[in-house]
Amino acid sequence: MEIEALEGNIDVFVEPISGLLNKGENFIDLSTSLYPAFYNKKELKDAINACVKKVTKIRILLDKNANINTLKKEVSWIFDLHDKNPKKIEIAKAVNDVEHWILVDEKYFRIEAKHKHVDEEVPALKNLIISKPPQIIAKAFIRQFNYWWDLAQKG
Amino acid sequence: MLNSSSWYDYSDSVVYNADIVSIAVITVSILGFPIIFSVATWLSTQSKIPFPEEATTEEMLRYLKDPSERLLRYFTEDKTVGKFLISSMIYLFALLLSLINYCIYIFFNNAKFLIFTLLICSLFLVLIASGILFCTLIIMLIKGLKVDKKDVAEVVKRMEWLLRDNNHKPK
Repeated sequence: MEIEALEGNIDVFVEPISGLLNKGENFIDLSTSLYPAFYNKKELKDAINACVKKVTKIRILLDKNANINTLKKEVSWIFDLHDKNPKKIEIAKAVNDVEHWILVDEKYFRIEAKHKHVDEEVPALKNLIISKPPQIIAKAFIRQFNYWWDLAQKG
Repeated sequence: MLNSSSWYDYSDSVVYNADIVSIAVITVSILGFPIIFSVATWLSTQSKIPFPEEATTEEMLRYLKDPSERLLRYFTEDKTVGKFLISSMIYLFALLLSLINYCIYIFFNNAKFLIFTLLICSLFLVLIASGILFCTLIIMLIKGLKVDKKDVAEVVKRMEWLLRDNNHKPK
């Protein structure tokens, strides 16, 4: 198991997170607010586009505070990708408080520190990238994400 | 059925040993099947209990720190439950084999070689089931209490760092 602790502004997270996404072979689960300044970075776009070709499923769980209409304008490329691959990419909106995680293949996990005040303009400050944790930890993350996903509004 | 004068009369010693073996096989499989099957079913229902609605990283930390919770998670993994189910099925199969053996004894009392072979087979089945069970328990205990302990402690430590003082603005 390896753990990488990251702290700083969004630029610090671009390379590790795109690297994490590039490791995906089976599935990618994201719980996110699709922060445009982050997800419009070229590295992230390339990584997600590459994922679409490799993995069988990508589930994007939007934060309950996310405004889908605004996001459709600001990160339109993700919604375009969804329209082109409706079976592979699923997008849902959370109904309860979710934390911003990225789960890759039951092996790689990105855990973001919870924002204490909901402010879409404040980027995440702390992240953990956990590679190949013990199975009980991996299963706990997946189980929690599935719980959020089952409750979320689909379509 | 277990009367030493009639079951396996190759020689006196074989008769005695065969009866002991037959009692042991039947007893272990009669007890083993229902107990292990019930345990596997209970563990499988435990693994399906969802987290509380507002479960967060803090909630996850709480249970990762608790050794009994951690052990329960190991025991409720699909792989573990699967192994318990397999061993309970093997116990059931050994029991059925013992019953078939008894029927053969009742109706074809001269088929001594077949009776003896079936007894040995059922004994092996019981030993295999017990072996799977024992190994699963040992592996779970070692994993839960020793091997993953360091990794879990590391994740807990890092998560505590993640949750600490996260309200400052980016520099």
